[in-house]
Amino acid sequence: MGVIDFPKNTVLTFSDEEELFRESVKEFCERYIAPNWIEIDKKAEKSPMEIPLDLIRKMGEQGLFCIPCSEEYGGQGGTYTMATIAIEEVAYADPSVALAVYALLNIGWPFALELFGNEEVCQEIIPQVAKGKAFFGIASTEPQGGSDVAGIKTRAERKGDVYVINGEKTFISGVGEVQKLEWGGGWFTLARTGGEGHRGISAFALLARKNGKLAEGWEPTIYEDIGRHGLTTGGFKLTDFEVDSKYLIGEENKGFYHVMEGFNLARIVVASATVGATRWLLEQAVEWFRTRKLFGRSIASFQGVSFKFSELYARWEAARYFVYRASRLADKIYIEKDPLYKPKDLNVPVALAKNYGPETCVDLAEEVMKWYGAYAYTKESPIFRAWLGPFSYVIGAEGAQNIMRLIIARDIIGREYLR
Amino acid sequence: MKIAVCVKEIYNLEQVKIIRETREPILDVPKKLDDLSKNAIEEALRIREKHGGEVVAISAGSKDLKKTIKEALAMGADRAIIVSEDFQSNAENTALILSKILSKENFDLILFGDASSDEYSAQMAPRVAELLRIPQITYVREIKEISDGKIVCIRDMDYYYETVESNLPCVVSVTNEINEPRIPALKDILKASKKPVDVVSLSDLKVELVNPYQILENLAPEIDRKQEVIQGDLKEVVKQIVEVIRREI
Repeated sequence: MGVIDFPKNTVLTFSDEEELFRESVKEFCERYIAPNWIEIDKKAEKSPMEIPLDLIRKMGEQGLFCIPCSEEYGGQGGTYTMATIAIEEVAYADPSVALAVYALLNIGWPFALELFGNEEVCQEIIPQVAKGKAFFGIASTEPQGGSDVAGIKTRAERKGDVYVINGEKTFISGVGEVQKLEWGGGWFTLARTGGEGHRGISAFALLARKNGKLAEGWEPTIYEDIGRHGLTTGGFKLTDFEVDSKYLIGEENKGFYHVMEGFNLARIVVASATVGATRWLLEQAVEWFRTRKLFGRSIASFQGVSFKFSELYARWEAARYFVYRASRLADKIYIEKDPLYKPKDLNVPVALAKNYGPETCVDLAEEVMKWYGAYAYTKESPIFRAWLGPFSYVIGAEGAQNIMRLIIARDIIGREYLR
Repeated sequence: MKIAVCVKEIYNLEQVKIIRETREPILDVPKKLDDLSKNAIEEALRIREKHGGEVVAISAGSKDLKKTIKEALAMGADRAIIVSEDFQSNAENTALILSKILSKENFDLILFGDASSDEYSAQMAPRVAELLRIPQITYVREIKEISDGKIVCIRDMDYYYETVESNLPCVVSVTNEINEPRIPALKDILKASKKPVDVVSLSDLKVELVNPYQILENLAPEIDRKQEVIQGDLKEVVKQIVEVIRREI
């Protein structure tokens, strides 16, 4: 345990198994991730295809992927709360959040595949992802924008037993990993199979590479990100890309609804990653306050500093509460299958977590850099890495912040009053 | 091979805070399995993987032990036998309890961590071996061989290594150099809850506890910073540092 302890006896309580699991993830992270995250970020900053393959394999062996997926599909048979715990700890150990995002994508999207995909496809993909031999994320954004999911232009035409897909996806995580990992992998992706709008979209498990062999009609590009370098971002063009009809996820033209449930699941763990990184930042701040003196006083004795810290600390506790409230609710819906709870019940709790977590993290990172002063503006200090990585989730990865605000307003006030 | 591993629950030392004014520790922190106990479990699991058999985790501790022992089961122990109640905790009493439990089954090998991270008295393995009247090999950094009712171990004697052979059953205490303990995965943690834990009471064991000593004070040491500032050119600074080192050692 570091400088920032978890608050005791609050509404957030964890079972013995959950606490033991947190300790085990923490131990794994202290041994393998915390000593290496800066080096991973630096290397991949110079060369994005420097992917930490050994560490991904180790994380797979430790069972950090596909946590809520069933054991019959090679998953860990855990809960969504356990996934949320794991991601919080991985991000605390690597506050650039690259490894946490790798893990959370390979938790949320294989789980969404399991919810809607057919058994044969789940048996093919999930065990490889669980072992760290394949990547399975989300590919929905297109050059014309990401938030307007219903406006996608990529098209899939059914020809006999296959769908032929043409189009382009951009700002997609894992484009490098799919090429480098032993087995390969792909994405939960969307293509238009019907008319305009959200009712004409289908979801597919699109494998760009499997059993080490690249698929035809897939043309990738790798981007140079400003942070979170340990995970690649890129795009790809699909030219007459053939997908067997078994890879259709759920029903034809229902893909929009399936992906929205997937987004809700993924956003919980995204928010958890930023909560973990925030804890790391809070600790950097406290350690600095306890040593740094200016004008013969501790810098925390200036209320301009300590009051801002208190405000951000409060936001961290609130964000953490939002995250675990959402994960407990996801467990009710998807693990316990409690009929009292419906997938749409997650909309507001998830939007609160996704809205609050990343913004708190980035606002704190900026303050910590100011408290540190000029040192934080050098690359000697690791703090900027915990700023630029989580910043991706303020810009909009896994759902733009204003879309989260829109969801909250829409569900609380009522859709008809927002038109 | 039937292997017993005697493990200890300790306070999570990373979370213990000290009250600055009184130097008293605040012990309202979670407990965990001691690190050296994990080395002992890891070694037992490796022996089981090679020779087959059973690994039984044995411990005496507070009421929290029912939770803490799950860590040993998650690592891979097959079952556990524990005393989980408040008793006058000291090395003598714990050794009496552990030896009573151990004497009820025929273990081929009894493993311990060579000490515990909290008290580090390194008494438990020798005390239990004496009470059971079986051989003991302490400070073991490597178990070389187990065959034909014998065990060969390498002991770490600080300045040299000693190879020792003993008949089984035998008590062996291991150092942290012997292995890197595995970290239980989620599946192992979930399985651990289903493994048998035999909770025995002190009255069942009929142990007569003793109270040979009392801890009168438990305070953090007071260390005054000397706040010596060394200044000057490089040659002068080096000279002063050497003088300080000479004076202090």
